[in-house]
Amino acid sequence: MTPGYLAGRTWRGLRESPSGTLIAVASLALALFAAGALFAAGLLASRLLSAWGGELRLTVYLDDSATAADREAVAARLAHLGPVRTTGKAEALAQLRGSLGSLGSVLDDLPENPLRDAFSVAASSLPPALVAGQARSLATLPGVADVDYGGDLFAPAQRLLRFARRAGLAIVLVTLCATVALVANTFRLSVYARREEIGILRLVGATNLFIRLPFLLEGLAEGAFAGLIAAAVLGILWIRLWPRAVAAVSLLSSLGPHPLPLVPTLAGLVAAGALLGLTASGLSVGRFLGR
Amino acid sequence: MIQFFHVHKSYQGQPALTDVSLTVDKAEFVFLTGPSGAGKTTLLELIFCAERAQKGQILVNGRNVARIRASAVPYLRRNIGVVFQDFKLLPSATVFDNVALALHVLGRPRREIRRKVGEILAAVGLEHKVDSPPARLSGGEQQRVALARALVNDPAILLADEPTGNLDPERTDEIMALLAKVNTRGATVMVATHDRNLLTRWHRRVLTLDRGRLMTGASPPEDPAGAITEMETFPSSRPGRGSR
Repeated sequence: MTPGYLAGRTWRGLRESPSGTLIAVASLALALFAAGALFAAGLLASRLLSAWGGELRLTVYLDDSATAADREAVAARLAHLGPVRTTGKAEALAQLRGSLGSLGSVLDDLPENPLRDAFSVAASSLPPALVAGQARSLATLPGVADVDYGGDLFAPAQRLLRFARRAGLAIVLVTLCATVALVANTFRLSVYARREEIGILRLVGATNLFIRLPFLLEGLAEGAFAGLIAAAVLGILWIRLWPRAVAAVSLLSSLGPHPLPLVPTLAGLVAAGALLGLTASGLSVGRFLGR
Repeated sequence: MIQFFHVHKSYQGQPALTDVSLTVDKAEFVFLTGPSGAGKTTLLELIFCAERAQKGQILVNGRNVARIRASAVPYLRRNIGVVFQDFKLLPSATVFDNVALALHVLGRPRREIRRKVGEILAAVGLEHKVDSPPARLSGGEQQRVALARALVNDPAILLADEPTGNLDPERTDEIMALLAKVNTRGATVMVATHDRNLLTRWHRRVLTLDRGRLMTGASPPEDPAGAITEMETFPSSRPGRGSR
Protein backbone atom coordinates (compact mmCIF):
# COMPACT_ATOMS: atom_id res chain seq x y z
CA MET A 1 0.00 0.00 0.00
CA THR A 2 1.40 3.36 -0.96
CA PRO A 3 1.25 6.28 1.52
CA GLY A 4 -0.82 8.23 -1.00
CA TYR A 5 -3.48 5.53 -1.18
CA LEU A 6 -3.48 5.18 2.62
CA ALA A 7 -3.90 8.92 3.16
CA GLY A 8 -6.59 9.17 0.46
CA ARG A 9 -8.54 6.22 1.81
CA THR A 10 -8.35 7.55 5.36
CA TRP A 11 -9.56 10.99 4.30
CA ARG A 12 -12.41 9.40 2.30
CA GLY A 13 -13.37 7.32 5.34
CA LEU A 14 -13.53 10.41 7.54
CA ARG A 15 -15.68 12.25 5.00
CA GLU A 16 -18.00 9.33 4.28
CA SER A 17 -19.41 9.18 7.83
CA PRO A 18 -19.35 12.74 9.18
CA SER A 19 -21.81 11.98 11.98
CA GLY A 20 -19.72 9.06 13.20
CA THR A 21 -16.58 11.18 13.04
CA LEU A 22 -18.29 13.98 14.96
CA ILE A 23 -19.56 11.65 17.69
CA ALA A 24 -16.16 10.02 18.08
CA VAL A 25 -14.27 13.32 18.23
CA ALA A 26 -16.76 14.97 20.61
CA SER A 27 -16.82 12.00 23.00
CA LEU A 28 -13.06 11.70 23.03
CA ALA A 29 -12.57 15.45 23.47
CA LEU A 30 -14.95 15.57 26.43
CA ALA A 31 -13.35 12.59 28.13
CA LEU A 32 -9.85 13.92 27.51
CA PHE A 33 -10.78 17.36 28.82
CA ALA A 34 -12.19 15.80 31.99
CA ALA A 35 -9.06 13.67 32.40
CA GLY A 36 -6.80 16.67 31.79
CA ALA A 37 -8.70 18.86 34.25
CA LEU A 38 -8.60 16.16 36.92
CA PHE A 39 -4.90 15.63 36.31
CA ALA A 40 -4.20 19.36 36.64
CA ALA A 41 -6.29 19.64 39.83
CA GLY A 42 -4.58 16.60 41.35
CA LEU A 43 -1.15 17.92 40.50
CA LEU A 44 -1.88 21.33 42.00
CA ALA A 45 -3.32 19.82 45.19
CA SER A 46 -0.30 17.56 45.51
CA ARG A 47 2.12 20.47 45.04
CA LEU A 48 0.18 22.61 47.49
CA LEU A 49 0.39 19.90 50.12
CA SER A 50 4.11 19.42 49.46
CA ALA A 51 4.68 23.17 49.87
CA TRP A 52 2.76 23.10 53.11
CA GLY A 53 4.63 20.02 54.32
CA GLY A 54 7.96 21.67 53.48
CA GLU A 55 7.21 24.47 55.91
CA LEU A 56 6.04 22.18 58.70
CA ARG A 57 7.98 22.58 62.01
CA LEU A 58 7.81 20.91 65.41
CA THR A 59 7.50 23.92 67.72
CA VAL A 60 7.73 23.94 71.53
CA TYR A 61 6.27 27.04 73.23
CA LEU A 62 7.78 27.83 76.62
CA ASP A 63 5.99 29.08 79.64
CA ASP A 64 7.13 32.50 80.89
CA SER A 65 8.02 30.79 84.16
CA ALA A 66 10.41 28.34 82.45
CA THR A 67 13.87 28.32 84.02
CA ALA A 68 17.12 28.34 82.14
CA ALA A 69 17.51 24.64 82.98
CA ASP A 70 14.05 23.91 81.54
CA ARG A 71 14.97 25.75 78.33
CA GLU A 72 18.26 23.86 78.02
CA ALA A 73 16.52 20.53 78.51
CA VAL A 74 13.98 21.29 75.76
CA ALA A 75 16.66 22.57 73.37
CA ALA A 76 18.77 19.45 74.00
CA ARG A 77 15.84 17.13 73.20
CA LEU A 78 15.07 19.00 69.98
CA ALA A 79 18.71 19.05 68.93
CA HIS A 80 18.45 15.25 68.39
CA LEU A 81 15.88 15.91 65.63
CA GLY A 82 17.73 18.64 63.75
CA PRO A 83 19.06 22.19 63.87
CA VAL A 84 17.09 24.13 66.51
CA ARG A 85 15.72 27.58 65.76
CA THR A 86 15.03 29.88 68.71
CA THR A 87 12.33 32.52 68.38
CA GLY A 88 11.91 35.00 71.23
CA LYS A 89 8.45 36.35 72.02
CA ALA A 90 9.41 39.85 70.79
CA GLU A 91 10.64 38.39 67.48
CA ALA A 92 7.45 36.32 67.17
CA LEU A 93 5.34 39.43 67.69
CA ALA A 94 7.33 41.28 65.05
CA GLN A 95 6.78 38.40 62.60
CA LEU A 96 3.06 38.41 63.36
CA ARG A 97 2.90 42.15 62.80
CA GLY A 98 4.68 41.71 59.48
CA SER A 99 2.34 38.97 58.33
CA LEU A 100 -0.70 41.10 59.18
CA GLY A 101 0.55 43.88 56.95
CA SER A 102 -1.45 47.06 57.29
CA LEU A 103 -3.52 45.47 60.05
CA GLY A 104 -0.38 44.97 62.18
CA SER A 105 -1.00 48.20 64.01
CA VAL A 106 -3.85 46.59 65.96
CA LEU A 107 -1.14 44.79 67.94
CA ASP A 108 0.03 48.16 69.30
CA ASP A 109 -2.99 48.26 71.57
CA LEU A 110 -2.05 45.05 73.38
CA PRO A 111 -1.21 45.68 77.05
CA GLU A 112 1.58 43.12 76.89
CA ASN A 113 3.09 40.59 74.44
CA PRO A 114 0.85 37.50 74.67
CA LEU A 115 3.19 35.30 72.62
CA ARG A 116 5.77 32.90 73.98
CA ASP A 117 9.42 32.08 73.45
CA ALA A 118 9.71 29.05 71.22
CA PHE A 119 12.18 26.40 69.99
CA SER A 120 11.48 24.63 66.70
CA VAL A 121 12.95 22.09 64.28
CA ALA A 122 11.98 21.26 60.68
CA ALA A 123 9.60 18.30 60.76
CA SER A 124 8.75 17.76 57.10
CA SER A 125 11.48 15.18 56.53
CA LEU A 126 10.86 13.30 59.79
CA PRO A 127 8.54 10.28 60.03
CA PRO A 128 5.10 11.44 61.20
CA ALA A 129 5.01 8.82 63.98
CA LEU A 130 8.36 10.03 65.39
CA VAL A 131 7.21 13.66 65.32
CA ALA A 132 3.94 12.80 67.04
CA GLY A 133 5.76 10.76 69.74
CA GLN A 134 8.30 13.50 70.39
CA ALA A 135 5.52 16.09 70.60
CA ARG A 136 3.70 14.07 73.25
CA SER A 137 6.93 13.53 75.19
CA LEU A 138 8.05 17.18 74.99
CA ALA A 139 4.66 18.35 76.25
CA THR A 140 5.37 16.66 79.60
CA LEU A 141 8.64 18.51 80.21
CA PRO A 142 8.70 21.24 82.86
CA GLY A 143 8.39 24.78 81.53
CA VAL A 144 6.63 23.69 78.32
CA ALA A 145 3.35 25.51 77.65
CA ASP A 146 2.39 23.91 74.35
CA VAL A 147 3.73 21.75 71.48
CA ASP A 148 2.58 22.14 67.90
CA TYR A 149 3.63 20.28 64.76
CA GLY A 150 0.64 20.71 62.44
CA GLY A 151 0.17 16.94 62.40
CA ASP A 152 -3.44 17.19 63.41
CA LEU A 153 -4.16 18.75 59.99
CA PHE A 154 -1.30 17.53 57.83
CA ALA A 155 -1.88 13.78 58.17
CA PRO A 156 -5.63 13.96 57.39
CA ALA A 157 -4.91 16.29 54.48
CA GLN A 158 -2.40 13.76 53.16
CA ARG A 159 -4.95 10.97 53.53
CA LEU A 160 -7.61 13.06 51.82
CA LEU A 161 -5.30 13.85 48.92
CA ARG A 162 -4.38 10.18 48.57
CA PHE A 163 -8.06 9.26 48.50
CA ALA A 164 -8.89 12.05 46.05
CA ARG A 165 -6.04 10.98 43.80
CA ARG A 166 -7.27 7.36 43.74
CA ALA A 167 -10.87 8.42 43.23
CA GLY A 168 -9.82 10.79 40.45
CA LEU A 169 -7.78 8.07 38.78
CA ALA A 170 -10.73 5.67 38.99
CA ILE A 171 -13.08 8.28 37.52
CA VAL A 172 -10.63 9.01 34.70
CA LEU A 173 -10.17 5.30 33.95
CA VAL A 174 -13.91 4.58 33.95
CA THR A 175 -14.58 7.64 31.78
CA LEU A 176 -11.86 6.73 29.31
CA CYS A 177 -12.97 3.08 29.12
CA ALA A 178 -16.57 4.15 28.53
CA THR A 179 -15.37 6.57 25.86
CA VAL A 180 -13.30 3.89 24.16
CA ALA A 181 -16.36 1.61 24.15
CA LEU A 182 -18.55 4.37 22.71
CA VAL A 183 -16.02 5.33 20.06
CA ALA A 184 -15.42 1.66 19.23
CA ASN A 185 -19.15 1.34 18.59
CA THR A 186 -19.17 4.31 16.23
CA PHE A 187 -16.20 2.74 14.45
CA ARG A 188 -18.03 -0.56 14.30
CA LEU A 189 -20.87 1.17 12.47
CA SER A 190 -18.37 2.72 10.10
CA VAL A 191 -16.72 -0.66 9.46
CA TYR A 192 -20.12 -2.28 8.99
CA ALA A 193 -21.12 0.39 6.49
CA ARG A 194 -18.01 -0.48 4.50
CA ARG A 195 -18.41 -4.25 4.69
CA GLU A 196 -19.06 -4.44 0.95
CA GLU A 197 -15.82 -2.64 0.21
CA ILE A 198 -13.97 -4.88 2.67
CA GLY A 199 -15.41 -7.92 0.90
CA ILE A 200 -14.19 -6.63 -2.46
CA LEU A 201 -10.77 -5.81 -1.03
CA ARG A 202 -10.49 -9.37 0.26
CA LEU A 203 -11.52 -10.64 -3.14
CA VAL A 204 -8.67 -8.85 -4.88
CA GLY A 205 -6.12 -10.13 -2.38
CA ALA A 206 -5.94 -7.47 0.32
CA THR A 207 -4.35 -8.61 3.56
CA ASN A 208 -5.98 -7.87 6.89
CA LEU A 209 -3.30 -5.25 7.50
CA PHE A 210 -4.17 -3.50 4.24
CA ILE A 211 -7.84 -3.40 5.23
CA ARG A 212 -7.09 -2.44 8.81
CA LEU A 213 -4.58 0.37 8.29
CA PRO A 214 -6.95 3.08 6.96
CA PHE A 215 -9.34 2.41 9.86
CA LEU A 216 -6.48 2.62 12.37
CA LEU A 217 -5.29 5.85 10.82
CA GLU A 218 -8.82 7.23 11.01
CA GLY A 219 -8.94 6.37 14.72
CA LEU A 220 -5.53 7.92 15.25
CA ALA A 221 -6.50 11.12 13.43
CA GLU A 222 -9.85 11.46 15.22
CA GLY A 223 -8.24 10.79 18.61
CA ALA A 224 -5.41 13.25 18.02
CA PHE A 225 -7.87 15.89 16.83
CA ALA A 226 -10.03 15.31 19.92
CA GLY A 227 -6.90 15.58 22.07
CA LEU A 228 -6.02 18.83 20.33
CA ILE A 229 -9.47 20.26 21.09
CA ALA A 230 -9.28 19.17 24.74
CA ALA A 231 -5.75 20.58 25.05
CA ALA A 232 -6.75 23.89 23.48
CA VAL A 233 -9.74 24.34 25.80
CA LEU A 234 -7.74 23.32 28.87
CA GLY A 235 -4.83 25.55 27.89
CA ILE A 236 -7.03 28.61 27.32
CA LEU A 237 -8.88 28.05 30.59
CA TRP A 238 -5.60 27.66 32.45
CA ILE A 239 -4.05 30.80 31.01
CA ARG A 240 -7.20 32.82 31.74
CA LEU A 241 -8.14 31.43 35.14
CA TRP A 242 -4.87 30.72 36.93
CA PRO A 243 -3.82 34.37 37.46
CA ARG A 244 -7.30 35.13 38.82
CA ALA A 245 -7.14 32.12 41.15
CA VAL A 246 -3.75 33.26 42.48
CA ALA A 247 -5.10 36.77 43.02
CA ALA A 248 -8.09 35.39 44.92
CA VAL A 249 -6.26 32.78 47.02
CA SER A 250 -2.85 33.99 48.18
CA LEU A 251 -1.92 30.46 49.28
CA LEU A 252 -1.65 29.50 45.60
CA SER A 253 1.15 32.00 45.07
CA SER A 254 3.43 29.69 47.10
CA LEU A 255 3.33 27.29 44.11
CA GLY A 256 5.27 29.73 41.94
CA PRO A 257 4.35 31.24 38.57
CA HIS A 258 4.27 27.94 36.61
CA PRO A 259 3.03 25.15 38.87
CA LEU A 260 1.58 23.11 35.97
CA PRO A 261 3.90 21.84 33.22
CA LEU A 262 1.50 23.16 30.59
CA VAL A 263 3.16 22.09 27.34
CA PRO A 264 3.88 18.47 28.43
CA THR A 265 0.36 18.21 29.87
CA LEU A 266 -1.29 19.41 26.67
CA ALA A 267 1.02 17.30 24.49
CA GLY A 268 0.12 14.34 26.70
CA LEU A 269 -3.57 14.96 26.05
CA VAL A 270 -3.02 14.89 22.27
CA ALA A 271 -0.96 11.69 22.56
CA ALA A 272 -3.55 10.11 24.86
CA GLY A 273 -6.28 11.04 22.37
CA ALA A 274 -4.38 9.45 19.50
CA LEU A 275 -3.80 6.31 21.57
CA LEU A 276 -7.47 6.07 22.58
CA GLY A 277 -8.65 6.57 19.00
CA LEU A 278 -6.21 3.96 17.80
CA THR A 279 -7.35 1.51 20.48
CA ALA A 280 -11.04 2.05 19.74
CA SER A 281 -10.65 1.64 15.98
CA GLY A 282 -8.30 -1.32 16.42
CA LEU A 283 -10.83 -3.08 18.65
CA SER A 284 -13.74 -2.63 16.25
CA VAL A 285 -12.00 -3.44 12.99
CA GLY A 286 -10.15 -6.32 14.65
CA ARG A 287 -13.41 -7.81 15.84
CA PHE A 288 -14.97 -7.40 12.38
CA LEU A 289 -12.04 -8.96 10.52
CA GLY A 290 -11.78 -11.76 13.06
CA ARG A 291 -15.28 -13.00 12.26
CA MET B 1 -3.20 -25.68 -13.12
CA ILE B 2 -6.39 -26.59 -11.19
CA GLN B 3 -6.92 -30.06 -9.80
CA PHE B 4 -9.61 -31.43 -7.47
CA PHE B 5 -9.12 -34.81 -5.78
CA HIS B 6 -12.22 -36.34 -4.14
CA VAL B 7 -13.40 -33.02 -2.80
CA HIS B 8 -16.37 -32.90 -0.44
CA LYS B 9 -18.10 -29.78 0.75
CA SER B 10 -21.30 -29.48 2.73
CA TYR B 11 -23.23 -26.73 4.47
CA GLN B 12 -24.85 -27.68 7.77
CA GLY B 13 -24.88 -31.33 6.79
CA GLN B 14 -26.29 -30.67 3.30
CA PRO B 15 -23.78 -31.79 0.65
CA ALA B 16 -22.88 -29.07 -1.86
CA LEU B 17 -20.10 -31.02 -3.58
CA THR B 18 -19.61 -34.76 -3.34
CA ASP B 19 -16.43 -36.57 -4.32
CA VAL B 20 -15.49 -34.10 -7.03
CA SER B 21 -12.30 -34.81 -8.95
CA LEU B 22 -11.29 -32.80 -11.99
CA THR B 23 -8.35 -31.30 -13.84
CA VAL B 24 -8.21 -28.02 -15.73
CA ASP B 25 -5.06 -27.45 -17.71
CA LYS B 26 -3.04 -24.29 -17.90
CA ALA B 27 -4.48 -21.81 -20.44
CA GLU B 28 -7.59 -23.91 -20.86
CA PHE B 29 -11.09 -22.44 -21.16
CA VAL B 30 -13.81 -24.51 -19.50
CA PHE B 31 -17.46 -24.06 -18.77
CA LEU B 32 -18.92 -25.21 -15.51
CA THR B 33 -22.61 -25.86 -15.85
CA GLY B 34 -25.54 -27.40 -14.08
CA PRO B 35 -28.88 -26.36 -12.65
CA SER B 36 -29.23 -23.87 -9.82
CA GLY B 37 -27.90 -25.38 -6.59
CA ALA B 38 -25.71 -27.87 -8.44
CA GLY B 39 -22.58 -26.53 -6.71
CA LYS B 40 -21.05 -24.35 -9.43
CA THR B 41 -20.46 -21.33 -7.20
CA THR B 42 -19.21 -23.51 -4.36
CA LEU B 43 -16.67 -25.10 -6.68
CA LEU B 44 -15.38 -21.71 -7.76
CA GLU B 45 -15.29 -20.47 -4.15
CA LEU B 46 -13.16 -23.43 -3.16
CA ILE B 47 -10.58 -22.41 -5.78
CA PHE B 48 -10.13 -18.88 -4.45
CA CYS B 49 -10.56 -19.97 -0.82
CA ALA B 50 -13.80 -18.16 -0.08
CA GLU B 51 -14.82 -21.60 1.23
CA ARG B 52 -12.90 -24.55 2.59
CA ALA B 53 -13.41 -28.18 1.59
CA GLN B 54 -14.18 -30.65 4.35
CA LYS B 55 -12.45 -33.48 2.51
CA GLY B 56 -10.14 -33.88 -0.45
CA GLN B 57 -7.31 -31.89 -1.96
CA ILE B 58 -7.40 -28.89 -4.29
CA LEU B 59 -4.27 -27.93 -6.15
CA VAL B 60 -4.06 -24.48 -7.73
CA ASN B 61 -0.77 -23.83 -9.50
CA GLY B 62 0.58 -26.84 -7.62
CA ARG B 63 -0.41 -25.49 -4.22
CA ASN B 64 -2.87 -27.32 -1.99
CA VAL B 65 -5.38 -24.58 -1.24
CA ALA B 66 -7.56 -26.94 0.81
CA ARG B 67 -4.94 -26.73 3.54
CA ILE B 68 -3.63 -23.22 2.99
CA ARG B 69 -3.12 -20.90 5.98
CA ALA B 70 -5.58 -18.01 6.27
CA SER B 71 -2.72 -15.51 6.13
CA ALA B 72 -1.63 -16.93 2.74
CA VAL B 73 -5.05 -16.61 1.11
CA PRO B 74 -4.65 -12.95 0.01
CA TYR B 75 -1.45 -13.82 -1.85
CA LEU B 76 -3.19 -16.71 -3.61
CA ARG B 77 -6.06 -14.42 -4.64
CA ARG B 78 -3.69 -11.93 -6.22
CA ASN B 79 -3.09 -14.53 -8.90
CA ILE B 80 -6.76 -15.30 -9.45
CA GLY B 81 -9.19 -12.88 -11.05
CA VAL B 82 -12.84 -13.33 -10.11
CA VAL B 83 -15.92 -11.96 -11.85
CA PHE B 84 -19.41 -12.20 -10.41
CA GLN B 85 -22.90 -11.97 -11.82
CA ASP B 86 -23.63 -8.97 -9.57
CA PHE B 87 -20.32 -7.29 -10.56
CA LYS B 88 -19.31 -6.37 -6.97
CA LEU B 89 -18.25 -2.83 -7.80
CA LEU B 90 -17.90 -0.01 -5.29
CA PRO B 91 -20.79 2.36 -6.02
CA SER B 92 -19.07 5.37 -4.45
CA ALA B 93 -15.87 4.96 -6.47
CA THR B 94 -15.25 5.76 -10.13
CA VAL B 95 -14.57 3.17 -12.80
CA PHE B 96 -10.87 4.03 -12.55
CA ASP B 97 -10.79 3.59 -8.78
CA ASN B 98 -12.69 0.32 -8.93
CA VAL B 99 -10.17 -1.16 -11.32
CA ALA B 100 -7.19 0.43 -9.56
CA LEU B 101 -8.15 -1.29 -6.29
CA ALA B 102 -6.52 -4.53 -7.38
CA LEU B 103 -3.23 -2.69 -8.02
CA HIS B 104 -3.36 -0.64 -4.81
CA VAL B 105 -3.51 -3.94 -2.94
CA LEU B 106 -0.24 -4.89 -4.61
CA GLY B 107 1.31 -1.57 -3.59
CA ARG B 108 1.98 -0.51 -7.18
CA PRO B 109 3.16 3.09 -7.68
CA ARG B 110 0.64 5.68 -8.85
CA ARG B 111 2.18 6.06 -12.31
CA GLU B 112 2.06 2.33 -13.01
CA ILE B 113 -1.52 2.17 -11.76
CA ARG B 114 -2.55 4.97 -14.13
CA ARG B 115 -0.89 3.24 -17.06
CA LYS B 116 -2.20 -0.27 -16.40
CA VAL B 117 -5.75 0.82 -15.58
CA GLY B 118 -5.78 2.97 -18.71
CA GLU B 119 -4.62 0.03 -20.81
CA ILE B 120 -7.08 -2.46 -19.40
CA LEU B 121 -10.01 -0.02 -19.67
CA ALA B 122 -9.07 0.58 -23.29
CA ALA B 123 -8.95 -3.18 -23.83
CA VAL B 124 -12.50 -3.57 -22.54
CA GLY B 125 -13.66 -0.49 -24.45
CA LEU B 126 -14.31 1.75 -21.45
CA GLU B 127 -11.47 4.28 -21.73
CA HIS B 128 -14.05 7.06 -22.04
CA LYS B 129 -15.75 6.10 -18.77
CA VAL B 130 -12.83 6.34 -16.36
CA ASP B 131 -14.45 8.99 -14.17
CA SER B 132 -17.97 7.62 -14.22
CA PRO B 133 -19.48 5.94 -11.17
CA PRO B 134 -20.70 2.38 -11.85
CA ALA B 135 -24.31 3.44 -11.39
CA ARG B 136 -24.13 5.46 -14.63
CA LEU B 137 -23.03 2.42 -16.64
CA SER B 138 -25.12 -0.24 -18.33
CA GLY B 139 -25.02 -3.81 -17.04
CA GLY B 140 -22.64 -4.85 -19.79
CA GLU B 141 -20.34 -1.93 -19.02
CA GLN B 142 -20.37 -2.73 -15.33
CA GLN B 143 -19.47 -6.31 -16.08
CA ARG B 144 -16.60 -5.08 -18.25
CA VAL B 145 -15.38 -2.95 -15.35
CA ALA B 146 -15.49 -6.02 -13.11
CA LEU B 147 -13.61 -7.94 -15.77
CA ALA B 148 -11.03 -5.16 -16.05
CA ARG B 149 -10.50 -5.26 -12.28
CA ALA B 150 -10.08 -9.02 -12.39
CA LEU B 151 -7.54 -8.79 -15.21
CA VAL B 152 -5.58 -5.65 -14.41
CA ASN B 153 -2.86 -7.49 -12.49
CA ASP B 154 -2.52 -10.22 -15.14
CA PRO B 155 -3.79 -13.19 -13.11
CA ALA B 156 -2.96 -16.71 -14.21
CA ILE B 157 -6.53 -17.85 -13.56
CA LEU B 158 -9.81 -16.11 -14.26
CA LEU B 159 -12.97 -17.40 -12.59
CA ALA B 160 -16.30 -16.03 -13.74
CA ASP B 161 -19.50 -16.90 -11.91
CA GLU B 162 -22.50 -16.36 -14.20
CA PRO B 163 -20.75 -13.37 -15.77
CA THR B 164 -23.51 -12.95 -18.33
CA GLY B 165 -26.44 -13.78 -16.09
CA ASN B 166 -27.72 -10.20 -16.00
CA LEU B 167 -26.93 -9.28 -19.59
CA ASP B 168 -28.82 -9.24 -22.84
CA PRO B 169 -27.53 -11.42 -25.72
CA GLU B 170 -25.48 -8.65 -27.30
CA ARG B 171 -23.71 -7.77 -24.03
CA THR B 172 -23.27 -11.47 -23.35
CA ASP B 173 -21.33 -11.81 -26.60
CA GLU B 174 -19.18 -8.83 -25.67
CA ILE B 175 -18.20 -10.36 -22.35
CA MET B 176 -17.61 -13.81 -23.80
CA ALA B 177 -15.37 -12.36 -26.48
CA LEU B 178 -13.33 -10.62 -23.82
CA LEU B 179 -13.00 -13.83 -21.81
CA ALA B 180 -11.89 -15.64 -24.94
CA LYS B 181 -9.28 -12.99 -25.60
CA VAL B 182 -7.95 -13.31 -22.07
CA ASN B 183 -7.74 -17.06 -22.58
CA THR B 184 -5.82 -16.74 -25.82
CA ARG B 185 -3.30 -14.60 -23.94
CA GLY B 186 -2.55 -17.57 -21.68
CA ALA B 187 -4.89 -17.32 -18.71
CA THR B 188 -6.86 -20.30 -17.52
CA VAL B 189 -10.54 -19.37 -17.68
CA MET B 190 -13.35 -21.10 -15.85
CA VAL B 191 -16.87 -19.83 -16.48
CA ALA B 192 -19.81 -21.02 -14.40
CA THR B 193 -23.11 -20.70 -16.27
CA HIS B 194 -26.48 -22.34 -16.57
CA ASP B 195 -27.06 -20.69 -19.97
CA ARG B 196 -27.09 -23.59 -22.44
CA ASN B 197 -26.89 -21.16 -25.37
CA LEU B 198 -23.40 -20.21 -24.31
CA LEU B 199 -22.31 -23.83 -24.33
CA THR B 200 -23.61 -24.43 -27.81
CA ARG B 201 -22.20 -21.22 -29.28
CA TRP B 202 -18.75 -21.46 -27.65
CA HIS B 203 -17.34 -24.90 -28.13
CA ARG B 204 -15.29 -25.62 -25.07
CA ARG B 205 -14.97 -28.39 -22.54
CA VAL B 206 -17.97 -28.48 -20.27
CA LEU B 207 -17.91 -29.65 -16.67
CA THR B 208 -21.42 -30.59 -15.65
CA LEU B 209 -22.45 -30.62 -12.04
CA ASP B 210 -25.66 -32.09 -10.74
CA ARG B 211 -26.55 -31.97 -7.05
CA GLY B 212 -22.90 -31.61 -6.13
CA ARG B 213 -21.58 -34.44 -8.30
CA LEU B 214 -19.47 -33.96 -11.39
CA MET B 215 -21.25 -35.74 -14.23
CA THR B 216 -19.10 -34.92 -17.29
CA GLY B 217 -15.85 -33.34 -18.38
CA ALA B 218 -13.62 -34.18 -15.45
CA SER B 219 -10.49 -34.41 -17.60
CA PRO B 220 -9.11 -32.27 -20.42
CA PRO B 221 -9.54 -33.63 -23.94
CA GLU B 222 -6.67 -35.48 -25.60
CA ASP B 223 -6.48 -32.79 -28.28
CA PRO B 224 -6.60 -29.44 -26.56
CA ALA B 225 -6.99 -27.58 -29.86
CA GLY B 226 -10.47 -26.38 -30.58
CA ALA B 227 -10.05 -22.70 -30.21
CA ILE B 228 -12.93 -20.38 -29.74
CA THR B 229 -14.90 -20.75 -32.93
CA GLU B 230 -16.95 -17.58 -32.78
CA MET B 231 -16.84 -13.93 -32.03
CA GLU B 232 -13.32 -12.86 -32.71
CA THR B 233 -14.47 -9.43 -33.78
CA PHE B 234 -15.48 -7.67 -30.55
CA PRO B 235 -14.23 -5.33 -29.15
CA SER B 236 -10.86 -4.29 -30.44
CA SER B 237 -8.17 -3.53 -27.91
CA ARG B 238 -6.64 -0.12 -28.22
CA PRO B 239 -3.84 -0.10 -25.70
CA GLY B 240 -2.41 3.23 -24.70
CA ARG B 241 -5.52 5.28 -25.33
CA GLY B 242 -7.07 4.96 -21.97
CA SER B 243 -4.68 6.89 -19.80
CA ARG B 244 -6.40 9.21 -17.44
